[in-house]
Amino acid sequence: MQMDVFISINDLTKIYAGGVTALSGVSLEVGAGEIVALLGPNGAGKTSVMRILATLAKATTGTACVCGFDVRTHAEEVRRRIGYIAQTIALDPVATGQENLLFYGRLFGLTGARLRDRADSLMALFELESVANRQVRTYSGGMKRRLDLAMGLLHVPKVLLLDEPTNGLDPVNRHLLWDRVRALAREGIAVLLTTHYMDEADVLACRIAIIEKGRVVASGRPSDLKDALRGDIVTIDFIEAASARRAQGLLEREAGVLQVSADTTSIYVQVVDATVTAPRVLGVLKDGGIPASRISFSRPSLDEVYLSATGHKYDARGGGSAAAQARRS
Amino acid sequence: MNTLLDTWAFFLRQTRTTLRLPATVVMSCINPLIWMVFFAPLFRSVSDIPGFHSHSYYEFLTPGVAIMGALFASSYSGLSIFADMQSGLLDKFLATPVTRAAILAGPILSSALQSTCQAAVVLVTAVALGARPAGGVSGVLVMFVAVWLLGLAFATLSHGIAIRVSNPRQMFGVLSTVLMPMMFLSTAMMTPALMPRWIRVVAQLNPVNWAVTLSRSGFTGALDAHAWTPVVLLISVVMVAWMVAVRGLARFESHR
Repeated sequence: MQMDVFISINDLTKIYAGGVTALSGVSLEVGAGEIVALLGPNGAGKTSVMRILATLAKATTGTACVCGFDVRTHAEEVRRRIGYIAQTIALDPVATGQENLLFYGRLFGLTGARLRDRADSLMALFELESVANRQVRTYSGGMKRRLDLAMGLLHVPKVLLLDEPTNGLDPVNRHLLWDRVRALAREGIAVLLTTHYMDEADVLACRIAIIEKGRVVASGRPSDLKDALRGDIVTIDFIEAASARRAQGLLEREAGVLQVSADTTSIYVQVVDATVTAPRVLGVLKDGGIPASRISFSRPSLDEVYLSATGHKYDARGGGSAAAQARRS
Repeated sequence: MNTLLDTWAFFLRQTRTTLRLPATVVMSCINPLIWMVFFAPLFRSVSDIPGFHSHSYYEFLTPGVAIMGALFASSYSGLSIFADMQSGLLDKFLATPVTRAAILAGPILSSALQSTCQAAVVLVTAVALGARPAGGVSGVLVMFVAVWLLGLAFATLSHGIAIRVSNPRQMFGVLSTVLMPMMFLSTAMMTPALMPRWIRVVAQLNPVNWAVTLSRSGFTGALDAHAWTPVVLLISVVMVAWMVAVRGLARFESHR
């Protein structure tokens, strides 16, 4: 059965004033009921994608459509269909939780009993009933994020844009939010979320797009991405970076070794079968006089997927913060 | 219709925010009261100077202080939209289908209402100190109209500036430099007959003076056919300021 495409991004580029390139040819689709995660470190361009979809920033080239409406030419139609939850929790601190919800609902044209009923049911859904009449400045971080999410759902959007929704949340609130997002997707809402947490993308998303310096470097189902990396991963740590580089050079020529990536003092050896190849790998290192400080085996995880796609180990803090700075300025 | 409902929503939001911060309300009322309670007794003898066309300095000062309160409160009101920009709330509003003009109009109207409430406090204080509005109820209403129009004009200008600056300190700097001269280059504290000629000339071009003239004409019962002139001039200022503010928001939205 053909799935309705609710978000369609095609060859999107964004160059900020000052010439900083945040996005270079990003393409992506999200269907009804799907959860797609944009995974990447800070400054990779994730928030730029979200802001363009939320009609808050304009793409330099390329197109972005929500429910068939172009964000550039039909911004108002897009705004009626999206629930946008920004990275920064933005709430009226001196208003109560309920007042925040009612005010925000009015901006979508909701009024009267319909608005109040919707606000009440969302307060219940996000377990905020007991604090509904308390000023938001007294809320915990988790309560604020849940209220923020409830506000984004007031007008029953078809598309939910979540920009790092669990950033800074404790595990309990994180899991609660994941459950709610899954439930929303089951109702047919298309969810696009950004995250720099590998586990979040792995557990929550139907599909993942790994974004690095404004480009999607790998995309697909988490299981497919991991399965595409055949075999096992042997991780070897060394005391010195020079040892890691030497070991990489020696092991790349070894039979049974599919790929070797290095990251300062560690190397990641992708092998067909660790039980067969790992003893040989250790023998090569011993013969080469390169002492390893630690060795471990694992099935490929998203870390290895990221490493394979970008050539370096994942660091959530990112190195491309120039784009983030340009966006904020 | 949408514009009116959206404006009403933002008006209520701003008014609620103001009322929930009692320190803001109290401070905005204390400033004009200081002028009434301390400044007026200090300068009350001014009314004895030949050429001063009022027998009571309190009665002379009341409509001027009402305008002064509106000038200061409304000129800083744009900082609320700056706070919304900083917190991310403005982005949140802009990602909804809300009428853009309402985002500005609601807080501006709320600020103008706050100015008229302040003027009511000034009026009650003045009456308690012995001032009597010769213009009666209709004259007092004219004074409130003058306060409301000036509050509207400067709140709109303030929002237009706030949305263009990247740092509130810039705005504080400009306002603290401009507001005091605007007040003293008007007839808020002194009758035109006793002013140096150059100040009299400059005052003719000063919107604060237009509002003071209208306010005093109403309060002292000296309304005549010329009373429409300051009304028209103040409405013109409101319209120009509105264009500045709306363009500022459009620029904020498009340059990203």
